[in-house]
Amino acid sequence: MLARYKPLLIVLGIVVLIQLLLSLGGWEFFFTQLIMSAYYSLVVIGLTLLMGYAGQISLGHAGFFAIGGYTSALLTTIDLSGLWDKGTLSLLSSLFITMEQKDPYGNIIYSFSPWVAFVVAILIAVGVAFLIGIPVLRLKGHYLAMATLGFGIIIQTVLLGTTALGAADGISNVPDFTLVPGIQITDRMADRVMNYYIAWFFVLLGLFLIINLLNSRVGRALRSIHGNEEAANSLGINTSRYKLYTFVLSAVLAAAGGVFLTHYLGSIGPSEAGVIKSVRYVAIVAVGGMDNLFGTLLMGNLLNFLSLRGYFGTFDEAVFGIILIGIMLFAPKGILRIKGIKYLSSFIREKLAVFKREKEK
Amino acid sequence: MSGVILNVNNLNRSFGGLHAVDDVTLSVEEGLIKSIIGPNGAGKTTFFNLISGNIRPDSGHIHFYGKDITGLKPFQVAALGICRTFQNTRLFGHMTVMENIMVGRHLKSRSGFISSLLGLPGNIREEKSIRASVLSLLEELNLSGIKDELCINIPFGLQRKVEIARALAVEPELLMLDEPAAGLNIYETTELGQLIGKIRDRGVTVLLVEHDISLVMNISDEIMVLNQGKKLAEGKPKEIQKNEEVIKVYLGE
Repeated sequence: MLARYKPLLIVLGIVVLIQLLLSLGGWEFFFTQLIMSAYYSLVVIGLTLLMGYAGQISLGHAGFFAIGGYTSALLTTIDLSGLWDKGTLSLLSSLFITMEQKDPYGNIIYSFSPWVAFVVAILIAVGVAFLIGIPVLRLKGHYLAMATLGFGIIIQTVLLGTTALGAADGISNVPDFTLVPGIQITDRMADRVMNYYIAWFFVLLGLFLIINLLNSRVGRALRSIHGNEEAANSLGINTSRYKLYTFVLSAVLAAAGGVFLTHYLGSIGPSEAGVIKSVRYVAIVAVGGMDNLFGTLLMGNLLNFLSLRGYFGTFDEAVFGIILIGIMLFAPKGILRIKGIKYLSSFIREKLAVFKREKEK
Repeated sequence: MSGVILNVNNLNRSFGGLHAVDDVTLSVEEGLIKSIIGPNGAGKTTFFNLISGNIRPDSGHIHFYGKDITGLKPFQVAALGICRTFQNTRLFGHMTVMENIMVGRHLKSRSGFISSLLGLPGNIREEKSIRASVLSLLEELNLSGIKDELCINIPFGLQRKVEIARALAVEPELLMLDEPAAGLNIYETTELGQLIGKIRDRGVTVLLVEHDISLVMNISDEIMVLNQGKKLAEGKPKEIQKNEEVIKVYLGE
């Protein structure tokens, strides 16, 4: 029964191991990019569920990430002083609905608290996902890809053209996110290790939910839609509803990633909604093996980390395009399942078995 | 006379200029095996698709246990108790035999999206009961040995059987089989005939589209003959065998 959660423990083990290694080795400067990669992988695991298991593509998920990030950024930086009087605002603040903070010029302002902003951001993402998903998920294959691509472009264009959202500059000075007293999403140097664990807590939570889903009646229904939609339908599965719910869930995960990363970095810009970003997510899901949750998690963190560290240099965007083309041509089941690696792993397993037998003798 | 389970009245469907199903009326009695035969292109599969909701009729009505099901979507039709198989098996290739049949239990279980996400205890109990019922069905149909095989890896004859098993897992009142013997060898066809007989004995009404005439004649209680979208004849196998118009269509003049 609990066997299904074993991979989560393995992931946790690796996460702890990396933390110890970096802390003991004095390489703590890597944490920043690891934290960012972890938040991006919330988008990746949601998209894996949508693409790999339910068989629906989305080239617009960066749009949902941006919806999350921008909503939260706007609500936590907006000045509400003009809206309500001081008494009301301090009352709302004591209820954790609003929050007192200093703007960049040192003036005291009142904005919505991050938790309120988070909830609103998720609700907006859900609303938009339903609104977009209902017409768009009637489409299949290339048409679905084109329609979701269009959605991403619209979001980015709106962001670029809206002054209230900072147009090309985006929104900065986004406050830290106090999850519970003492635990904050913040880029303060001293709290790097804590934030590394906060980020991975959310990723593991996301994985926990997806694993539950995949091991249920609903998960089976999703995979059957991927296998053959008509047959799934004839067995009584409301295929369009399940596709829609999955789309919404993956949008929620993307938006949550957007909220957290924005509070972590303290800012968000319109490039987060870009087509290039969406393509990147799709490339990661493809390279991780589509219906391989942990493969995409690994590749997502690895590639995003390398990219954020700047190892791809000026070719950064090209790298993900090349990966996508390469994977489609040479390893459509993902890089972890190409023959070389398969042979290598079975070779090692065989040798180990031989070794064990000899030892028993 | 037992009750009528399915009533089809003056059903029509055209594709462009082709009148694929032309004013067909049919009633199926509960607990029988009713077969639809006819030459290639007679409209048999279209007729099937109209009943199962895969395509909509231009005009006419379909009643299931007296309830009008015309124009319902396939999953709604299935929920009422009609399940079908497809001419070229449509298994979920990258799922195991067991998982395929477990999908068939979808309508008999109810865990929703949110409760599945949270992995609530009720879900886990339900999952266990799904497993148990599928295992006993596998046992009954002699499929236990291949339960963990991926469906793309099993031979065609078995794929057919798995598809029927999956449909049985739905526990339909009416099972519609679209050319289940196509591509099967003579032994497999015989076994299929016995299986269909057993299904009827369980109380499931069977509507069968089939090309294998000897199979149809052996197991059917009633037969309808379609030709160029029109109903040509209807009756017991013996009557159909003697019907001159049917002979003309099948053998030429």
